[in-house]
Amino acid sequence: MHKGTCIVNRSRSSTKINHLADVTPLFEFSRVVNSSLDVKFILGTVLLTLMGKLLLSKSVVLLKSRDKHFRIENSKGIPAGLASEEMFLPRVPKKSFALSNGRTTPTTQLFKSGIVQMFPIVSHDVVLGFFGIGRRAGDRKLSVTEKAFVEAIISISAAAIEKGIAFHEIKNVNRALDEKVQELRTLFELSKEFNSIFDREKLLKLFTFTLMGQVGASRYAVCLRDGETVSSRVDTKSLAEFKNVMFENISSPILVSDFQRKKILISLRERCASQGIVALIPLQVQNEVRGMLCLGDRLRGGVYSMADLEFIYSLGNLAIISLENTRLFYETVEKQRMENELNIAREIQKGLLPRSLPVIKGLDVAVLNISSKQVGGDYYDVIALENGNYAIAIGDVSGKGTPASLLMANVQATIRTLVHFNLPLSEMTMRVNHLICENTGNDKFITFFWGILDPRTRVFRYVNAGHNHPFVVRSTGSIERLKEGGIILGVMKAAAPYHEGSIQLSSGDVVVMFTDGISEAMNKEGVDYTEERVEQFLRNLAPSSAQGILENIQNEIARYTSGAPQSDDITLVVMKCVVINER
Amino acid sequence: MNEFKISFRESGKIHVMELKGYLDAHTAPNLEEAFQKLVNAKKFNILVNCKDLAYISSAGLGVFMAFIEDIRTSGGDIKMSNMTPKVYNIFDLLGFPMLYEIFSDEHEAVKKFDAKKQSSK
Repeated sequence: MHKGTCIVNRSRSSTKINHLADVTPLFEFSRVVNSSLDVKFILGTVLLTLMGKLLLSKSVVLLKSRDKHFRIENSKGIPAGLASEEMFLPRVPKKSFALSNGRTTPTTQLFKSGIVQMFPIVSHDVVLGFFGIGRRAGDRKLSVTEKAFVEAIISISAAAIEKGIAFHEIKNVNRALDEKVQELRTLFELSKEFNSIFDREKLLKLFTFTLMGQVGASRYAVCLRDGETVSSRVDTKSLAEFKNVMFENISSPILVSDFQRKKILISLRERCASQGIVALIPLQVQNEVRGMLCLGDRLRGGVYSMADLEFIYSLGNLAIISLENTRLFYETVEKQRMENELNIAREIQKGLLPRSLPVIKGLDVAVLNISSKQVGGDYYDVIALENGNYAIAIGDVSGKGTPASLLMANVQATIRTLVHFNLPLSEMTMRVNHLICENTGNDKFITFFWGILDPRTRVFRYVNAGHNHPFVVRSTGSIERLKEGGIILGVMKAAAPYHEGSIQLSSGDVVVMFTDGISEAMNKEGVDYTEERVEQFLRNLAPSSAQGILENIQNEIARYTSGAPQSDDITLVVMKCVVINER
Repeated sequence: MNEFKISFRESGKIHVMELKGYLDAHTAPNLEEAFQKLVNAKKFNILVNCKDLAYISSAGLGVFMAFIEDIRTSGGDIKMSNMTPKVYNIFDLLGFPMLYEIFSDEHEAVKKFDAKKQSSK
């Protein structure tokens, strides 16, 4: 406005009428361009004003794109093809200049298109760009007044253009900032939400929704190293063939189009292309690639920038860490659950074994029961009967943990009830077998040995239902095994009847009943102790009380297995006949 | 906890979904379920009225992405209307106006749906 007035003043010398005629449009022009922040609009207005005033059919405006480089922003009457090219001006003139055909400067193109003269747009001594005007009708030259008018127009518009450019830049910066804020908000929201989700599927879904929303893709696959794959519009089977290649070669986010060096990656690239995958983003936990995000292109078009990939990378790592935490959480929960179950099993088992042993005249009894960590189903019992006899039992339930303990409880209850009916031992054994067959599946069975001792006659009647044969170590040093009986309990209902065996015991005789925790005790090398070794050991046993013998055996096993973990429950029942008047 | 509600109504043959409250990572599965319901019932002309939508996060926008291709392949569309400037700004930042038609008023959107149906006849 100010400058405009100044120029009008200068042109006063020509004619007063002209001057007055020029002021009104200049004023109007100034008002229009200064009320806008839209560079495009301002440039368009300048071009049209110049063309209208000077009767031009061609005009152009160039704006600085970078140092000494200019690009066509708007043009009238010249081919649009020129617009995309950046023009380099080694010298940037601050005064108007005529274009010519002679030199091979970039402006020659403009000249060929019919532009003859260029006027710089100068604001604060900086050239923002140029307006170019074409040949006038009848090839008339610009008069001094006309030139002054053109310069006035450009001078007025310069400030508006500068303001518009700055505004545009600020808008761009603001938008970029908004985008960053949005990214951060997304990351923040996800990390918050991830912390409260312990469901793998939900977590993956949330991750993919956020991803799709943030980058505008609708096609993806998330391949986890441990097998699982979720996807949308991608044939995961087709990608799975390349899983190893992906995991071995991709350790940072990459555009599929960028990998061409390695031969193996070329076929991966082709496979990705066939599935519409354009980028691979590894999902890492502590530098270890645990998953791969295969990402399709954006629906709205446009290539992912490195910044986009970096953002997706952070998003993905957040997701994979949460997935990992979820896995660890469930592992811990499962461990705790199992620990609890074992504790219950231990409690049940402990409760089933007799708390104290009855004192039996003429018989010295010692027992040992050590549970392994796993809790098996070893069982022993000593029951005083009304008729003065004693029932002594040992058994091993198949399986471990709570199921084994419960079956053992079942057996114990059955035996404790049946034993008082005073039926023949073989028949009672058959009934126990029936009951267990009915109450358990085929996979559950029990090796079982029991006998009834009459302490007065020292006759020991027994039935061995598939249990490790107990040893009888006579005072004379000879050894017998108690084998009579039948099939293990719980497998076949209609088995052959159980046979009852019977032996006469006398003072100094020792009966050793055991479970396979003794005979199959393993040393460091994984070699069983074996029944042969038990027998050998018993053969050389020094005379001792039942408790002494038991401790000797226990020490022997401990010596043998030293350094190896206890593999199974160990149960030992040692009975020694003593001279009655000793007690 | 911020609330999010979806209600359905019909406007001619257009299925209008009204969103209310906060559509974020936490509530996005609800919107997914709603879209799934419409798609299962073969209701593909869906207009989402965002008049009372207070906030939308990337996860919420992702739900729109998850369905748009299938719905368009089935001859339908998801259009949106009545966004507050704050919500529109988020849509705009993430480039959604290039993918979805967003109208200032529900009637315009319905008209656009109808016009398309007329022309396809």
